[in-house]
Amino acid sequence: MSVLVVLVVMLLLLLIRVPVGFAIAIAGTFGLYLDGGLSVVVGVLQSAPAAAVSSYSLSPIPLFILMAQFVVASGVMDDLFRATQVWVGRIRGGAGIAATGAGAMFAAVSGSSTAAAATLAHTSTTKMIDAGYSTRISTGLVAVVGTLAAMVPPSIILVFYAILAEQSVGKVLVAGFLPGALVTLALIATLMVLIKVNPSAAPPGQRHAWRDKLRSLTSAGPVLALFALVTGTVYFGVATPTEAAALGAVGGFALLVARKRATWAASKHAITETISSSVMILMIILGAHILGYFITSTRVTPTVVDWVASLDVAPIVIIVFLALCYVLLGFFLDQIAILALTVPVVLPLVTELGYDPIWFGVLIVLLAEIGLVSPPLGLNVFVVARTAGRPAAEVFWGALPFVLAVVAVAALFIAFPEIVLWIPDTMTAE
Amino acid sequence: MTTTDAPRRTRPETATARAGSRVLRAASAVERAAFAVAAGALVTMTLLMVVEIAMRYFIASPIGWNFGFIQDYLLPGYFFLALAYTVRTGAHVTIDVVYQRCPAPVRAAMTVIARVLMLGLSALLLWAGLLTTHDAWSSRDIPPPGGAELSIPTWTWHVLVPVGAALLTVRLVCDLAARRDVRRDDEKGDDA
Amino acid sequence: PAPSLESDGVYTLKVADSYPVGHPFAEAGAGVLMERARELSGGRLRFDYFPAEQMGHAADLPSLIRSGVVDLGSVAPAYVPAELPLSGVADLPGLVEDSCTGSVAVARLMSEGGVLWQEDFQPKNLRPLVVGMIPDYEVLTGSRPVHTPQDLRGLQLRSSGGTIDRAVEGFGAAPVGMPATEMYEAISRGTVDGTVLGPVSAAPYHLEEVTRYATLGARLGSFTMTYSINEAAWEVLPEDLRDALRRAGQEATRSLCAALQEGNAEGRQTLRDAGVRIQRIDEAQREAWNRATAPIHEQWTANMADIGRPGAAALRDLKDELRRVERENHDDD
Ligand code: NA
Ligand code: NA
Repeated sequence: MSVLVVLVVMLLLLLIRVPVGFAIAIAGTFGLYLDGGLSVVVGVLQSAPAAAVSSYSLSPIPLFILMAQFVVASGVMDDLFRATQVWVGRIRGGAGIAATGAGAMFAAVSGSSTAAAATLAHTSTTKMIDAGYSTRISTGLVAVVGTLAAMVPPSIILVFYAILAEQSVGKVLVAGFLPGALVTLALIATLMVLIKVNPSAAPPGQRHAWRDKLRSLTSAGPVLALFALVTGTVYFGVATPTEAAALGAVGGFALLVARKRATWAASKHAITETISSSVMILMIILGAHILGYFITSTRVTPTVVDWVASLDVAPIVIIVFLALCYVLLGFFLDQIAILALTVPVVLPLVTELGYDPIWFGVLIVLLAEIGLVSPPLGLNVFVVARTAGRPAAEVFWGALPFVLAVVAVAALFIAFPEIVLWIPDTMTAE
Repeated sequence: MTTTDAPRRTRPETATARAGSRVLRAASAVERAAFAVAAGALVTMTLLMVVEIAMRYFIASPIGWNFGFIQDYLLPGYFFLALAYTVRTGAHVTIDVVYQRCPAPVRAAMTVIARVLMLGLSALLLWAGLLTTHDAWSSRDIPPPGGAELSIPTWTWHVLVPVGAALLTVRLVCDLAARRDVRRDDEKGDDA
Repeated sequence: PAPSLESDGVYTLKVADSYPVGHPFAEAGAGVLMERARELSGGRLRFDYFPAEQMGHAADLPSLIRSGVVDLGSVAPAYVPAELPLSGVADLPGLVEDSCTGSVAVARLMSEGGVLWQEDFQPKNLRPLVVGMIPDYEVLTGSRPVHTPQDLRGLQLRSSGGTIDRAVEGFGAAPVGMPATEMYEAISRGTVDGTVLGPVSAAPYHLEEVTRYATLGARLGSFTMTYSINEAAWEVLPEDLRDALRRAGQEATRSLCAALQEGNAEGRQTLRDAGVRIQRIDEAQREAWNRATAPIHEQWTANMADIGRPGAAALRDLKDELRRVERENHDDD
């Protein structure tokens, strides 16, 4: 009962525009007060803030953001788009494929979906529109391509999931690789179908000389090297994920220097942006930590788990139901907040049903990311709409077919969990 | 829609408001200084890890204290010292669907209620943080030398919480006070 | 303020620990403590139990107990060396071979009048009820075998902090701090050469899959933990319930040490079954390990003196108490 009251309070707080992290923290504090009075509130607040923030495992979050900020500042994205375009240019819809490919490559060095959408909107959307693409496809595609950043390693949200679920950060990160590749292919396939149905949506491509193709590789090189530096060191165990993130940040800065963009202003901007986003994320984590004490003391988690486990339905039904819940939550809530609020409650149930926690993390991140490109709170859509100067509704419609492609991939993961677990499993073998 | 919280800039019009604006400027200056320290913590963390990897691989002699130092000082340092600044610059995600459909007076009321509640949380954090710091101070908690952690009294990291909470409390009080005293023009991003 | 634990003559204590369900600490420690206290009090003591870090991480539990968020919980000095520095004496290498001898001896130093009680627990308003001890820390390595103390030189070993770090360093290896969950990968990928821990802890992290060598009888140190109650909660309890809790604690200490001995034996067997090469340290080699241990004791004592703590007295008391308990056990036989 008190859990319900506290959740309603949290919702009200969110609606009167209390920032998400603070809303969760205030609701949690209120719950603790109901539960144990002021002494418990003060007791929890004495240890929760430091405990929530001072966890070594959290340090990849700011470092991955910093790396992406440096990559963006280096301006390499324009070159990536151009390079991919040169390679696939002959095909109708080549620029769309180029945008997806460049997005996937950027995802390999960026951990945040919305940041990726913002960057891609700058580099790809406007160029696609200029090249004669329908505005719907150009904006919708890029908004969805942004979500690849949360799947392809490195991914901030997967790091956070690993911490919540007490799984190896390295394995969870690496687990996103194959799903990220599959989503990329699904997006390209969807694009091709759309163009087949409506050829006027995309201009014909143009041929490029092999010399241009080979020369274009030089721009992809540094980004692939950075990906290898980060994901490679984690996969081969050269460094822990945290250290790999630090290497990535330094590598990102090196790219900035190599491209002669390492001005004081650019560096300062990158660092300021990094702190702003990561403090916001950490505030949500801090809020969830406080709320967590309340949720734990009400014992709602074991109650729910016992109840669901007692239901006489196949595990797959419960998983599909949970999957729908995550899509729904994604419509309304921030992705980090969704994980912080649900994983401690839901994961025990999922493992009880016999599913793998790493697989589940990849699945729910994929599903929760749909919320970023769907109404009413599609942050990626707003970012792309603002950059491209198009109405948000148009972008939402444009994104819809690509969202369906993502849903299809999610369904594939539910049917064949081994797709997700294949690569991380190779990490355990001697 | 989801946006980030918009920053506020005040336009002083009376003598009291001028005095008030001096306080606001001072608060902003302190916030910026704390933010600069936070930025330093982030950069230090990055470099410390790279040095650790190098030490381990090239001379097989890891630093050792980096783990505890990052965990106890750098991570909380960069978060708590930057918190007030990020609240001022509107770095925190808010949900604006309802807000945007409300008339101006309701919006103003929502903003005031939101700030008051945040102020309450911040004051509690400040109080609890002071208690913890005082405990650590008065019982002279210190990791013994020779261990993995640097032998520095633990109040030096416990204090980061009340310092951050104090900055945040001042920021929220300033926001509320400024709202009452002065007419506001609609805001533009504050620089830093 | 005094916590309100009582309702209709029944006192309910909130208990929290950091060990997963099924871990010996949780099962033979907290489990036995709660069950026996319930019986001995005729149902007037009840417990609301939150295992497995549900209420907070191991390092935060002491402060959660102190601030009254929970009444009773696991407190391990190794996780909070700044708060309970002197209790690290129990984790020093070369002292304890048998969990039951060790934990009973340490329990005495941690009970009223004992040096660890006076210096560490009483000032923190904590009262240990159960003491558990995993003795016999061993070195587990991936590719480099360890036969003698000299083989440890230059190795990079994942270490859990506290006194164990000091022992690792004292043997000339480099302690590397990292979350326990990263240990498996770090060893399998050669990020570190290995780790030091009690054999009982190897299986839960599946270390037998990634290590090839383990020592047997190196006695690199111990891991000591307690279940401690908040002094304010203790004072609220009527005398007969305190008595029930005290007795239940002593019984739990006994059951726990037996379970840990068994766990260490099982852990060694798991390593052996997985094909890990076990390097047994026999009596002849023992001398070399003892020689390597002595400077670590001295260094620890000096470090305690640096922060104004009576390390020498604590070490002397512990050695005396260990001898006394051994004598008592011998008399019982
Ligand atoms: Na990514
Ligand atoms: Na949405």
